[in-house]
Amino acid sequence: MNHLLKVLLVLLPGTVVSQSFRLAPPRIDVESRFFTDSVKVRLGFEMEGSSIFYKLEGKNSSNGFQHYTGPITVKHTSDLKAYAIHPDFWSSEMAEIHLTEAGQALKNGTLTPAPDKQYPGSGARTLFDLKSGSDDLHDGNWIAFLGDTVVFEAAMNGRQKLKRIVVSSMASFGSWVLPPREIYVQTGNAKGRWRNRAHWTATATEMTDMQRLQGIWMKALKLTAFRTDYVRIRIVPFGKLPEEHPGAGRQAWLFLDEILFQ
Amino acid sequence: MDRRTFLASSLITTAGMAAGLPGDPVIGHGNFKYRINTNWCNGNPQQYPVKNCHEMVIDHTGKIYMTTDDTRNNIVIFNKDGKILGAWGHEYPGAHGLTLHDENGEEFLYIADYERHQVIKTRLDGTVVRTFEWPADAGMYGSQTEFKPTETAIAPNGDVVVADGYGKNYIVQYAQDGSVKKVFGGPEHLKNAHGIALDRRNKSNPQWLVTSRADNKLKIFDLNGTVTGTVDLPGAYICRPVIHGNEVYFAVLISKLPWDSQSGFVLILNENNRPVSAPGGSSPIFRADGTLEPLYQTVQVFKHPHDVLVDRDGNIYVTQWNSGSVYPYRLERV
Repeated sequence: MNHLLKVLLVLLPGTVVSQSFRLAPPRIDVESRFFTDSVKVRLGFEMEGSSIFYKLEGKNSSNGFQHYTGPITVKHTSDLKAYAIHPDFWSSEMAEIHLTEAGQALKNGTLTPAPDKQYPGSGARTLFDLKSGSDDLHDGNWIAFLGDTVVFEAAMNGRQKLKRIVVSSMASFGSWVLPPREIYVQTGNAKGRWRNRAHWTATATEMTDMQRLQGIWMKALKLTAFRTDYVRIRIVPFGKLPEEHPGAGRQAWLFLDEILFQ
Repeated sequence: MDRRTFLASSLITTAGMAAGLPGDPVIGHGNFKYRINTNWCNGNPQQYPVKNCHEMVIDHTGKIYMTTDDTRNNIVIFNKDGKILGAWGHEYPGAHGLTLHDENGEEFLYIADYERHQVIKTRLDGTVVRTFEWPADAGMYGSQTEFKPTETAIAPNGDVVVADGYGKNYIVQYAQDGSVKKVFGGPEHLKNAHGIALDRRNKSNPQWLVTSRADNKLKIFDLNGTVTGTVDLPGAYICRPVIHGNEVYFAVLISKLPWDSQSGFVLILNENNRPVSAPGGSSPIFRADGTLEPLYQTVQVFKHPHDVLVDRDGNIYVTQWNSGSVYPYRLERV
Protein backbone atom coordinates (compact mmCIF):
# COMPACT_ATOMS: atom_id res chain seq x y z
CA MET A 1 0.00 0.00 0.00
CA ASN A 2 2.81 2.38 0.89
CA HIS A 3 4.51 1.78 -2.43
CA LEU A 4 1.30 2.39 -4.39
CA LEU A 5 0.70 5.62 -2.50
CA LYS A 6 4.21 6.71 -3.24
CA VAL A 7 3.92 6.05 -6.95
CA LEU A 8 0.77 8.15 -7.03
CA LEU A 9 2.51 11.00 -5.23
CA VAL A 10 5.43 10.97 -7.63
CA LEU A 11 3.00 11.26 -10.51
CA LEU A 12 1.28 14.33 -9.09
CA PRO A 13 2.50 17.54 -10.74
CA GLY A 14 4.68 19.77 -8.62
CA THR A 15 5.54 17.08 -6.11
CA VAL A 16 8.88 15.52 -5.33
CA VAL A 17 9.32 12.49 -3.18
CA SER A 18 12.87 11.34 -2.61
CA GLN A 19 13.81 7.77 -3.49
CA SER A 20 13.52 5.38 -0.62
CA PHE A 21 14.86 1.94 0.07
CA ARG A 22 14.05 -1.07 2.16
CA LEU A 23 16.21 -2.14 5.06
CA ALA A 24 17.82 -5.57 4.88
CA PRO A 25 16.60 -8.09 7.46
CA PRO A 26 18.46 -8.04 10.78
CA ARG A 27 21.25 -10.51 11.41
CA ILE A 28 20.53 -13.55 13.54
CA ASP A 29 23.53 -14.84 15.43
CA VAL A 30 23.19 -18.26 17.08
CA GLU A 31 25.75 -20.94 17.84
CA SER A 32 23.55 -23.69 16.39
CA ARG A 33 19.96 -24.17 15.25
CA PHE A 34 19.93 -27.38 17.32
CA PHE A 35 20.08 -27.45 21.12
CA THR A 36 19.49 -29.72 24.08
CA ASP A 37 18.53 -27.43 27.03
CA SER A 38 18.49 -23.88 25.66
CA VAL A 39 20.10 -21.66 23.07
CA LYS A 40 21.05 -17.98 23.19
CA VAL A 41 20.14 -15.83 20.18
CA ARG A 42 21.63 -12.44 19.39
CA LEU A 43 20.06 -10.10 16.84
CA GLY A 44 22.15 -7.49 15.06
CA PHE A 45 21.51 -4.39 12.97
CA GLU A 46 24.39 -1.97 13.29
CA MET A 47 22.83 1.17 11.87
CA GLU A 48 22.39 4.45 13.72
CA GLY A 49 18.74 5.25 14.43
CA SER A 50 17.46 1.73 13.79
CA SER A 51 15.56 -0.67 16.07
CA ILE A 52 14.82 -4.40 15.96
CA PHE A 53 11.55 -6.11 16.86
CA TYR A 54 11.20 -9.87 17.33
CA LYS A 55 8.66 -12.57 18.09
CA LEU A 56 8.90 -16.23 19.15
CA GLU A 57 6.38 -18.73 17.80
CA GLY A 58 6.08 -22.18 19.27
CA LYS A 59 5.68 -23.51 22.79
CA ASN A 60 5.76 -20.49 25.16
CA SER A 61 5.28 -18.02 22.29
CA SER A 62 5.69 -14.32 23.03
CA ASN A 63 2.69 -12.03 22.59
CA GLY A 64 3.26 -9.94 19.48
CA PHE A 65 6.56 -8.34 18.54
CA GLN A 66 8.86 -7.07 21.24
CA HIS A 67 11.60 -4.46 21.08
CA TYR A 68 14.95 -6.24 21.07
CA THR A 69 17.28 -5.04 23.80
CA GLY A 70 19.62 -7.97 24.30
CA PRO A 71 20.26 -11.70 23.81
CA ILE A 72 17.19 -13.98 23.91
CA THR A 73 17.26 -17.39 25.58
CA VAL A 74 15.12 -19.98 23.77
CA LYS A 75 14.25 -23.20 25.64
CA HIS A 76 11.80 -24.93 23.30
CA THR A 77 11.51 -25.62 19.59
CA SER A 78 10.50 -22.25 18.14
CA ASP A 79 10.40 -20.02 15.10
CA LEU A 80 12.07 -16.69 15.77
CA LYS A 81 11.07 -13.80 13.52
CA ALA A 82 12.65 -10.34 13.55
CA TYR A 83 12.59 -7.15 11.51
CA ALA A 84 14.37 -3.79 11.56
CA ILE A 85 13.00 -0.26 11.32
CA HIS A 86 14.53 3.17 10.66
CA PRO A 87 12.70 6.45 10.09
CA ASP A 88 14.39 7.10 6.72
CA PHE A 89 13.83 3.67 5.17
CA TRP A 90 11.09 1.14 4.60
CA SER A 91 11.01 -1.55 7.28
CA SER A 92 12.91 -4.71 6.53
CA GLU A 93 11.46 -8.01 5.53
CA MET A 94 11.38 -10.66 8.22
CA ALA A 95 14.48 -12.57 9.23
CA GLU A 96 13.50 -16.02 10.43
CA ILE A 97 15.17 -19.00 12.03
CA HIS A 98 13.79 -22.33 13.18
CA LEU A 99 15.39 -23.50 16.44
CA THR A 100 14.97 -27.18 17.21
CA GLU A 101 15.33 -29.19 20.41
CA ALA A 102 17.61 -32.10 19.62
CA GLY A 103 16.11 -34.82 21.80
CA GLN A 104 17.98 -38.11 22.15
CA ALA A 105 21.73 -38.40 21.99
CA LEU A 106 23.36 -41.05 19.83
CA LYS A 107 26.28 -43.23 20.80
CA ASN A 108 27.69 -43.61 17.33
CA GLY A 109 26.71 -43.82 13.70
CA THR A 110 27.93 -45.07 10.35
CA LEU A 111 27.43 -43.61 6.91
CA THR A 112 27.28 -45.27 3.50
CA PRO A 113 28.69 -44.08 1.18
CA ALA A 114 31.31 -41.69 2.56
CA PRO A 115 30.63 -38.02 1.78
CA ASP A 116 32.16 -36.42 -1.30
CA LYS A 117 35.81 -35.41 -0.77
CA GLN A 118 34.98 -31.73 -1.28
CA TYR A 119 32.52 -31.72 1.62
CA PRO A 120 33.71 -34.35 4.12
CA GLY A 121 32.56 -32.57 7.30
CA SER A 122 33.37 -34.88 10.22
CA GLY A 123 31.95 -37.91 8.46
CA ALA A 124 28.98 -39.65 10.08
CA ARG A 125 29.45 -37.64 13.29
CA THR A 126 28.41 -34.49 11.38
CA LEU A 127 24.85 -35.82 11.44
CA PHE A 128 24.57 -35.92 15.24
CA ASP A 129 27.07 -33.33 16.52
CA LEU A 130 24.36 -30.65 17.04
CA LYS A 131 26.34 -28.19 14.90
CA SER A 132 24.16 -26.57 12.27
CA GLY A 133 25.47 -25.73 8.82
CA SER A 134 25.60 -22.11 7.70
CA ASP A 135 25.12 -20.48 4.29
CA ASP A 136 28.73 -21.38 3.62
CA LEU A 137 28.61 -24.93 2.32
CA HIS A 138 32.32 -25.29 3.06
CA ASP A 139 31.98 -24.45 6.76
CA GLY A 140 32.71 -28.04 7.82
CA ASN A 141 29.25 -28.61 9.26
CA TRP A 142 27.84 -29.98 6.02
CA ILE A 143 28.44 -33.30 4.31
CA ALA A 144 27.47 -33.71 0.67
CA PHE A 145 26.68 -36.46 -1.80
CA LEU A 146 26.33 -36.48 -5.55
CA GLY A 147 23.68 -38.85 -6.77
CA ASP A 148 24.05 -41.56 -4.12
CA THR A 149 21.33 -42.74 -1.75
CA VAL A 150 22.67 -42.14 1.75
CA VAL A 151 22.25 -44.70 4.53
CA PHE A 152 22.89 -43.63 8.12
CA GLU A 153 22.79 -46.28 10.82
CA ALA A 154 22.93 -45.22 14.45
CA ALA A 155 23.15 -46.91 17.82
CA MET A 156 21.04 -45.12 20.40
CA ASN A 157 22.58 -44.18 23.71
CA GLY A 158 20.74 -47.00 25.49
CA ARG A 159 17.27 -48.16 24.55
CA GLN A 160 15.40 -44.98 23.64
CA LYS A 161 11.82 -43.99 23.00
CA LEU A 162 11.50 -42.27 19.61
CA LYS A 163 8.60 -40.11 18.48
CA ARG A 164 10.02 -38.17 15.61
CA ILE A 165 13.00 -37.97 13.29
CA VAL A 166 14.03 -34.70 11.66
CA VAL A 167 16.34 -34.46 8.65
CA SER A 168 18.03 -31.11 8.00
CA SER A 169 19.22 -30.33 4.50
CA MET A 170 19.93 -27.36 2.19
CA ALA A 171 18.13 -25.95 -0.86
CA SER A 172 20.05 -23.74 -3.27
CA PHE A 173 18.87 -24.28 -6.83
CA GLY A 174 21.45 -21.89 -8.29
CA SER A 175 24.22 -23.85 -6.59
CA TRP A 176 22.90 -27.23 -7.84
CA VAL A 177 21.90 -28.17 -4.30
CA LEU A 178 18.46 -29.68 -3.60
CA PRO A 179 16.85 -31.53 -0.69
CA PRO A 180 16.06 -35.26 -0.79
CA ARG A 181 13.03 -36.71 -2.51
CA GLU A 182 12.49 -39.71 -0.18
CA ILE A 183 13.29 -40.67 3.39
CA TYR A 184 12.89 -44.13 4.96
CA VAL A 185 13.14 -44.89 8.68
CA GLN A 186 13.78 -48.38 10.05
CA THR A 187 14.47 -49.59 13.58
CA GLY A 188 16.49 -52.63 14.48
CA ASN A 189 17.85 -54.80 17.18
CA ALA A 190 21.20 -56.35 18.01
CA LYS A 191 20.38 -59.37 15.84
CA GLY A 192 20.32 -57.20 12.75
CA ARG A 193 16.59 -57.41 12.16
CA TRP A 194 15.18 -54.22 10.68
CA ARG A 195 11.58 -53.08 10.59
CA ASN A 196 10.06 -50.27 8.48
CA ARG A 197 8.71 -47.47 10.68
CA ALA A 198 8.14 -44.45 8.47
CA HIS A 199 8.46 -43.34 4.87
CA TRP A 200 8.10 -40.00 3.16
CA THR A 201 8.08 -39.25 -0.58
CA ALA A 202 8.00 -35.70 -1.91
CA THR A 203 4.88 -34.74 -3.83
CA ALA A 204 5.15 -32.94 -7.17
CA THR A 205 4.30 -29.68 -5.37
CA GLU A 206 7.00 -30.28 -2.77
CA MET A 207 9.53 -31.00 -5.52
CA THR A 208 8.65 -27.67 -7.15
CA ASP A 209 8.84 -25.82 -3.83
CA MET A 210 12.30 -27.24 -3.19
CA GLN A 211 13.51 -25.60 -6.39
CA ARG A 212 12.23 -22.20 -5.22
CA LEU A 213 13.51 -22.42 -1.66
CA GLN A 214 16.83 -20.82 -0.80
CA GLY A 215 18.16 -21.95 2.54
CA ILE A 216 17.59 -24.57 5.20
CA TRP A 217 15.12 -27.38 4.44
CA MET A 218 13.87 -29.64 7.22
CA LYS A 219 11.58 -32.65 7.19
CA ALA A 220 10.05 -34.23 10.29
CA LEU A 221 8.81 -37.83 10.14
CA LYS A 222 6.41 -38.69 12.96
CA LEU A 223 6.68 -42.17 14.40
CA THR A 224 4.40 -44.17 16.61
CA ALA A 225 6.28 -43.90 19.89
CA PHE A 226 8.39 -46.98 20.56
CA ARG A 227 11.66 -47.97 22.16
CA THR A 228 14.64 -49.07 20.09
CA ASP A 229 18.38 -49.63 20.16
CA TYR A 230 19.19 -48.98 16.51
CA VAL A 231 17.87 -46.72 13.77
CA ARG A 232 18.56 -46.75 10.05
CA ILE A 233 17.71 -43.71 7.90
CA ARG A 234 17.82 -44.01 4.12
CA ILE A 235 17.83 -40.70 2.26
CA VAL A 236 17.22 -40.63 -1.48
CA PRO A 237 18.60 -37.55 -3.25
CA PHE A 238 16.58 -35.23 -5.50
CA GLY A 239 18.09 -36.82 -8.60
CA LYS A 240 18.64 -35.12 -11.92
CA LEU A 241 18.38 -31.36 -12.22
CA PRO A 242 15.25 -30.30 -14.11
CA GLU A 243 15.06 -28.97 -17.65
CA GLU A 244 15.08 -25.28 -16.75
CA HIS A 245 18.36 -25.61 -14.84
CA PRO A 246 21.70 -24.79 -16.56
CA GLY A 247 22.91 -28.22 -15.44
CA ALA A 248 19.77 -30.03 -16.61
CA GLY A 249 20.15 -33.80 -16.65
CA ARG A 250 23.06 -33.85 -14.20
CA GLN A 251 22.71 -34.94 -10.58
CA ALA A 252 21.78 -32.41 -7.90
CA TRP A 253 23.94 -32.28 -4.78
CA LEU A 254 22.49 -33.47 -1.48
CA PHE A 255 23.74 -31.58 1.58
CA LEU A 256 23.00 -32.78 5.12
CA ASP A 257 24.00 -31.19 8.41
CA GLU A 258 21.96 -33.05 11.03
CA ILE A 259 19.49 -35.79 11.80
CA LEU A 260 17.58 -35.26 15.05
CA PHE A 261 16.09 -38.10 17.10
CA GLN A 262 13.28 -36.79 19.28
CA MET B 1 1.16 28.69 -4.09
CA ASP B 2 -1.57 27.79 -6.56
CA ARG B 3 -4.41 25.47 -5.67
CA ARG B 4 -2.94 22.41 -7.40
CA THR B 5 0.44 22.76 -5.67
CA PHE B 6 -1.27 23.35 -2.33
CA LEU B 7 -3.37 20.22 -2.73
CA ALA B 8 -0.35 18.17 -3.71
CA SER B 9 1.69 19.49 -0.79
CA SER B 10 -1.13 18.77 1.63
CA LEU B 11 -1.50 15.28 0.25
CA ILE B 12 2.18 14.59 0.68
CA THR B 13 2.16 15.79 4.28
CA THR B 14 -0.96 13.84 5.15
CA ALA B 15 0.08 10.74 3.31
CA GLY B 16 3.57 10.94 4.74
CA MET B 17 2.20 11.00 8.26
CA ALA B 18 -0.39 8.32 7.63
CA ALA B 19 1.73 5.90 5.68
CA GLY B 20 5.01 6.61 7.43
CA LEU B 21 6.86 7.69 4.28
CA PRO B 22 10.60 7.44 4.82
CA GLY B 23 12.70 10.58 4.90
CA ASP B 24 15.74 11.55 2.86
CA PRO B 25 17.94 8.47 2.90
CA VAL B 26 21.64 8.88 3.49
CA ILE B 27 23.96 5.90 3.76
CA GLY B 28 27.52 5.52 5.01
CA HIS B 29 29.36 6.37 8.17
CA GLY B 30 31.63 9.03 9.67
CA ASN B 31 33.00 11.41 7.07
CA PHE B 32 31.89 9.19 4.20
CA LYS B 33 28.12 9.57 3.83
CA TYR B 34 26.17 9.62 0.59
CA ARG B 35 22.80 10.29 -1.00
CA ILE B 36 21.71 7.57 -3.40
CA ASN B 37 21.07 8.31 -7.06
CA THR B 38 19.88 5.23 -8.93
CA ASN B 39 18.90 7.39 -11.91
CA TRP B 40 22.33 8.79 -12.61
CA CYS B 41 22.25 7.30 -16.10
CA ASN B 42 19.02 7.50 -18.06
CA GLY B 43 20.43 5.86 -21.16
CA ASN B 44 18.31 3.89 -23.57
CA PRO B 45 18.84 0.14 -22.95
CA GLN B 46 17.64 -0.59 -26.49
CA GLN B 47 20.45 1.53 -27.90
CA TYR B 48 23.09 0.71 -25.27
CA PRO B 49 22.22 -2.69 -23.76
CA VAL B 50 24.13 -4.02 -20.77
CA LYS B 51 24.12 -7.39 -18.99
CA ASN B 52 26.59 -7.56 -16.14
CA CYS B 53 28.29 -4.20 -15.58
CA HIS B 54 31.78 -5.04 -14.40
CA GLU B 55 34.26 -2.19 -14.03
CA MET B 56 34.71 1.52 -14.68
CA VAL B 57 37.61 3.91 -15.21
CA ILE B 58 37.78 7.65 -15.95
CA ASP B 59 40.12 9.32 -18.43
CA HIS B 60 41.81 12.72 -18.12
CA THR B 61 38.93 14.45 -19.93
CA GLY B 62 36.35 13.08 -17.50
CA LYS B 63 34.91 10.40 -19.78
CA ILE B 64 33.93 7.24 -17.93
CA TYR B 65 34.50 3.84 -19.58
CA MET B 66 32.69 0.72 -18.43
CA THR B 67 33.01 -2.97 -19.32
CA THR B 68 29.91 -5.10 -19.79
CA ASP B 69 29.73 -8.65 -21.10
CA ASP B 70 26.98 -7.67 -23.55
CA THR B 71 28.78 -8.12 -26.87
CA ARG B 72 26.49 -5.61 -28.55
CA ASN B 73 28.67 -2.96 -26.86
CA ASN B 74 31.39 -4.21 -24.53
CA ILE B 75 32.63 -0.75 -23.64
CA VAL B 76 30.07 1.94 -22.81
CA ILE B 77 31.24 5.54 -22.42
CA PHE B 78 29.50 8.08 -20.12
CA ASN B 79 30.07 11.64 -19.06
CA LYS B 80 29.94 12.50 -15.36
CA ASP B 81 26.29 13.49 -15.64
CA GLY B 82 25.37 9.98 -16.73
CA LYS B 83 24.80 10.74 -20.39
CA ILE B 84 25.99 7.93 -22.65
CA LEU B 85 28.44 9.33 -25.16
CA GLY B 86 29.02 6.20 -27.20
CA ALA B 87 30.10 2.58 -27.12
CA TRP B 88 32.33 0.08 -28.88
CA GLY B 89 33.42 -3.53 -28.79
CA HIS B 90 31.66 -6.75 -29.81
CA GLU B 91 34.41 -9.30 -29.37
CA TYR B 92 34.82 -9.46 -25.59
CA PRO B 93 32.34 -12.03 -24.23
CA GLY B 94 34.04 -12.06 -20.84
CA ALA B 95 34.83 -8.32 -20.64
CA HIS B 96 35.55 -7.92 -16.94
CA GLY B 97 38.53 -5.98 -15.56
CA LEU B 98 39.16 -2.49 -16.91
CA THR B 99 42.28 -0.50 -16.16
CA LEU B 100 43.38 2.81 -17.64
CA HIS B 101 47.03 3.76 -17.88
CA ASP B 102 48.81 6.81 -19.25
CA GLU B 103 51.84 5.84 -21.34
CA ASN B 104 53.96 8.56 -22.88
CA GLY B 105 51.05 10.98 -23.05
CA GLU B 106 48.47 8.54 -24.36
CA GLU B 107 45.90 6.70 -22.27
CA PHE B 108 45.32 2.99 -22.91
CA LEU B 109 42.74 0.52 -21.66
CA TYR B 110 43.50 -3.00 -20.44
CA ILE B 111 40.50 -5.32 -20.72
CA ALA B 112 40.72 -8.56 -18.74
CA ASP B 113 38.50 -11.08 -20.57
CA TYR B 114 38.07 -14.35 -18.68
CA GLU B 115 36.22 -15.97 -21.59
CA ARG B 116 38.99 -15.21 -24.07
CA HIS B 117 41.63 -16.08 -21.43
CA GLN B 118 43.50 -12.94 -22.35
CA VAL B 119 44.14 -9.35 -21.42
CA ILE B 120 43.67 -7.00 -24.34
CA LYS B 121 45.37 -3.59 -24.48
CA THR B 122 43.49 -1.04 -26.58
CA ARG B 123 43.45 2.63 -27.38
CA LEU B 124 40.51 4.62 -26.03
CA ASP B 125 38.74 4.23 -29.39
CA GLY B 126 38.98 0.44 -29.18
CA THR B 127 41.93 -0.14 -31.50
CA VAL B 128 43.76 -3.22 -30.25
CA VAL B 129 47.42 -2.64 -29.43
CA ARG B 130 48.45 -6.00 -27.94
CA THR B 131 47.17 -9.09 -26.18
CA PHE B 132 48.66 -10.75 -23.10
CA GLU B 133 48.33 -14.55 -23.27
CA TRP B 134 48.19 -17.34 -20.71
CA PRO B 135 51.54 -18.18 -19.08
CA ALA B 136 52.04 -21.44 -20.95
CA ASP B 137 55.64 -21.97 -19.85
CA ALA B 138 55.27 -20.98 -16.21
CA GLY B 139 54.48 -24.51 -15.10
CA MET B 140 51.26 -23.75 -13.23
CA TYR B 141 48.88 -24.08 -16.15
CA GLY B 142 48.06 -27.08 -18.31
CA SER B 143 45.93 -25.27 -20.86
CA GLN B 144 44.76 -21.84 -21.92
CA THR B 145 41.28 -22.39 -20.49
CA GLU B 146 42.66 -22.62 -16.94
CA PHE B 147 43.64 -18.96 -17.17
CA LYS B 148 40.66 -16.68 -16.46
CA PRO B 149 41.95 -13.17 -15.81
CA THR B 150 39.75 -10.69 -13.97
CA GLU B 151 41.94 -7.64 -13.39
CA THR B 152 45.07 -5.80 -14.50
CA ALA B 153 47.36 -3.29 -12.83
CA ILE B 154 50.48 -1.57 -14.08
CA ALA B 155 53.74 -1.83 -12.13
CA PRO B 156 55.97 1.22 -11.51
CA ASN B 157 58.30 0.00 -14.28
CA GLY B 158 55.41 -0.37 -16.77
CA ASP B 159 55.03 -4.14 -16.43
CA VAL B 160 51.49 -5.47 -16.81
CA VAL B 161 50.34 -7.43 -13.77
CA VAL B 162 47.29 -9.65 -14.14
CA ALA B 163 45.14 -11.33 -11.48
CA ASP B 164 43.79 -14.73 -12.51
CA GLY B 165 40.74 -14.36 -10.28
CA TYR B 166 38.44 -16.91 -11.91
CA GLY B 167 41.25 -19.31 -12.74
CA LYS B 168 44.09 -20.53 -10.55
CA ASN B 169 44.57 -17.42 -8.41
CA TYR B 170 48.06 -16.60 -9.59
CA ILE B 171 49.30 -13.11 -10.29
CA VAL B 172 51.16 -13.00 -13.62
CA GLN B 173 53.64 -10.22 -14.37
CA TYR B 174 54.34 -9.47 -18.03
CA ALA B 175 56.75 -7.16 -19.79
CA GLN B 176 55.06 -4.71 -22.13
CA ASP B 177 56.00 -6.95 -25.06
CA GLY B 178 53.75 -9.67 -23.63
CA SER B 179 56.49 -11.97 -22.31
CA VAL B 180 55.94 -13.48 -18.86
CA LYS B 181 58.45 -12.26 -16.28
CA LYS B 182 57.13 -13.67 -13.04
CA VAL B 183 54.24 -15.54 -11.44
CA PHE B 184 53.34 -15.11 -7.75
CA GLY B 185 50.39 -15.45 -5.37
CA GLY B 186 48.47 -18.61 -6.15
CA PRO B 187 45.99 -20.74 -4.21
CA GLU B 188 48.27 -20.89 -1.18
CA HIS B 189 47.68 -17.18 -0.61
CA LEU B 190 44.58 -16.22 -2.58
CA LYS B 191 41.06 -17.50 -2.97
CA ASN B 192 39.25 -15.79 -5.85
CA ALA B 193 42.00 -13.23 -6.57
CA HIS B 194 39.49 -10.93 -8.16
CA GLY B 195 41.20 -7.54 -8.18
CA ILE B 196 44.62 -5.93 -7.96
CA ALA B 197 45.86 -2.36 -7.56
CA LEU B 198 49.23 -0.70 -7.13
CA ASP B 199 49.26 1.08 -3.78
CA ARG B 200 51.47 4.16 -3.91
CA ARG B 201 50.13 5.81 -0.77
CA ASN B 202 53.49 5.17 0.86
CA LYS B 203 55.69 6.59 -1.89
CA SER B 204 58.83 4.98 -0.54
CA ASN B 205 57.26 1.54 -0.46
CA PRO B 206 54.77 0.86 -3.25
CA GLN B 207 53.03 -2.49 -2.93
CA TRP B 208 50.30 -4.62 -4.46
CA LEU B 209 46.85 -4.81 -2.95
CA VAL B 210 45.07 -8.00 -4.06
CA THR B 211 41.55 -8.99 -3.09
CA SER B 212 41.10 -12.56 -1.94
CA ARG B 213 37.37 -12.22 -2.39
CA ALA B 214 36.07 -15.60 -1.26
CA ASP B 215 38.28 -15.31 1.85
CA ASN B 216 36.99 -11.82 2.72
CA LYS B 217 40.60 -10.64 2.88
CA LEU B 218 42.77 -7.98 1.32
CA LYS B 219 46.27 -9.35 0.74
CA ILE B 220 49.31 -7.12 0.54
CA PHE B 221 52.33 -8.17 -1.55
CA ASP B 222 55.63 -6.37 -2.01
CA LEU B 223 56.76 -5.74 -5.55
CA ASN B 224 58.77 -8.97 -5.47
CA GLY B 225 55.57 -10.92 -4.98
CA THR B 226 56.01 -11.76 -1.28
CA VAL B 227 53.04 -11.51 1.03
CA THR B 228 53.65 -8.79 3.61
CA GLY B 229 50.23 -8.36 5.19
CA THR B 230 46.59 -9.37 5.38
CA VAL B 231 43.54 -7.25 6.20
CA ASP B 232 40.63 -9.33 7.49
CA LEU B 233 37.28 -8.00 6.33
CA PRO B 234 34.74 -10.61 7.52
CA GLY B 235 31.48 -10.48 5.63
CA ALA B 236 32.96 -8.41 2.80
CA TYR B 237 33.39 -10.21 -0.55
CA ILE B 238 35.53 -7.40 -1.92
CA CYS B 239 35.86 -7.14 -5.71
CA ARG B 240 38.82 -4.88 -6.51
CA PRO B 241 40.74 -2.27 -4.54
CA VAL B 242 40.29 1.27 -5.86
CA ILE B 243 42.67 3.76 -4.31
CA HIS B 244 41.52 7.38 -4.18
CA GLY B 245 43.39 9.84 -2.01
CA ASN B 246 44.32 8.11 1.24
CA GLU B 247 41.41 5.70 1.12
CA VAL B 248 40.77 2.33 -0.53
CA TYR B 249 37.26 1.77 -1.88
CA PHE B 250 35.63 -1.54 -2.73
CA ALA B 251 32.42 -2.81 -4.17
CA VAL B 252 31.39 -5.66 -1.88
CA LEU B 253 29.62 -8.16 -4.12
CA ILE B 254 27.83 -9.96 -1.29
CA SER B 255 28.04 -10.19 2.48
CA LYS B 256 26.85 -13.77 2.76
CA LEU B 257 26.67 -16.83 0.58
CA PRO B 258 25.27 -17.92 -1.81
CA TRP B 259 26.84 -15.83 -4.52
CA ASP B 260 23.45 -14.54 -5.68
CA SER B 261 22.32 -13.46 -2.21
CA GLN B 262 21.82 -9.78 -3.24
CA SER B 263 23.56 -8.66 -0.05
CA GLY B 264 26.19 -6.24 -1.33
CA PHE B 265 27.33 -2.77 -0.30
CA VAL B 266 30.34 -0.45 -0.63
CA LEU B 267 33.30 -0.41 1.75
CA ILE B 268 35.89 2.28 2.47
CA LEU B 269 39.19 1.76 4.32
CA ASN B 270 41.31 4.62 5.68
CA GLU B 271 45.04 5.15 5.20
CA ASN B 272 45.73 2.37 7.71
CA ASN B 273 43.48 -0.06 5.80
CA ARG B 274 40.93 0.12 8.61
CA PRO B 275 37.22 0.20 7.64
CA VAL B 276 35.68 3.64 8.25
CA SER B 277 32.44 3.50 6.26
CA ALA B 278 30.24 0.92 4.59
CA PRO B 279 27.53 2.67 2.53
CA GLY B 280 24.59 0.28 2.43
CA GLY B 281 26.27 -1.92 5.03
CA SER B 282 26.56 -2.14 8.80
CA SER B 283 28.69 0.27 10.84
CA PRO B 284 32.22 -1.08 11.13
CA ILE B 285 32.52 -2.26 14.75
CA PHE B 286 35.78 -3.42 16.27
CA ARG B 287 36.04 -5.89 19.11
CA ALA B 288 38.27 -5.31 22.14
CA ASP B 289 41.03 -7.34 20.48
CA GLY B 290 40.95 -5.04 17.44
CA THR B 291 39.30 -7.52 15.08
CA LEU B 292 36.35 -6.44 12.97
CA GLU B 293 32.82 -7.72 13.62
CA PRO B 294 31.41 -9.29 10.43
CA LEU B 295 29.97 -6.70 8.06
CA TYR B 296 26.56 -7.17 6.45
CA GLN B 297 24.06 -5.34 4.28
CA THR B 298 21.66 -3.03 6.13
CA VAL B 299 19.99 -1.12 3.28
CA GLN B 300 18.89 -2.81 0.07
CA VAL B 301 20.31 -0.21 -2.30
CA PHE B 302 22.44 -2.67 -4.24
CA LYS B 303 22.11 -6.30 -5.20
CA HIS B 304 25.62 -7.26 -6.33
CA PRO B 305 27.99 -4.27 -6.55
CA HIS B 306 30.98 -5.18 -8.66
CA ASP B 307 33.16 -2.08 -8.92
CA VAL B 308 33.46 1.50 -7.78
CA LEU B 309 34.86 4.63 -9.39
CA VAL B 310 35.48 7.73 -7.28
CA ASP B 311 35.45 11.18 -8.90
CA ARG B 312 37.23 14.36 -7.80
CA ASP B 313 34.24 15.43 -5.71
CA GLY B 314 34.25 12.14 -3.81
CA ASN B 315 31.12 10.77 -5.49
CA ILE B 316 31.13 7.03 -6.02
CA TYR B 317 29.87 5.34 -9.20
CA VAL B 318 28.86 1.73 -8.64
CA THR B 319 28.53 -0.98 -11.29
CA GLN B 320 26.62 -4.17 -10.55
CA TRP B 321 26.79 -7.81 -11.60
CA ASN B 322 23.62 -9.87 -11.96
CA SER B 323 21.35 -7.06 -10.87
CA GLY B 324 18.74 -6.76 -13.59
CA SER B 325 20.98 -5.15 -16.23
CA VAL B 326 20.92 -1.77 -14.50
CA TYR B 327 23.23 1.07 -15.44
CA PRO B 328 25.61 2.26 -12.70
CA TYR B 329 24.28 4.10 -9.64
CA ARG B 330 25.94 7.20 -8.18
CA LEU B 331 26.47 7.78 -4.47
CA GLU B 332 26.65 11.57 -4.01
CA ARG B 333 28.81 12.61 -1.11
CA VAL B 334 27.15 14.79 1.53
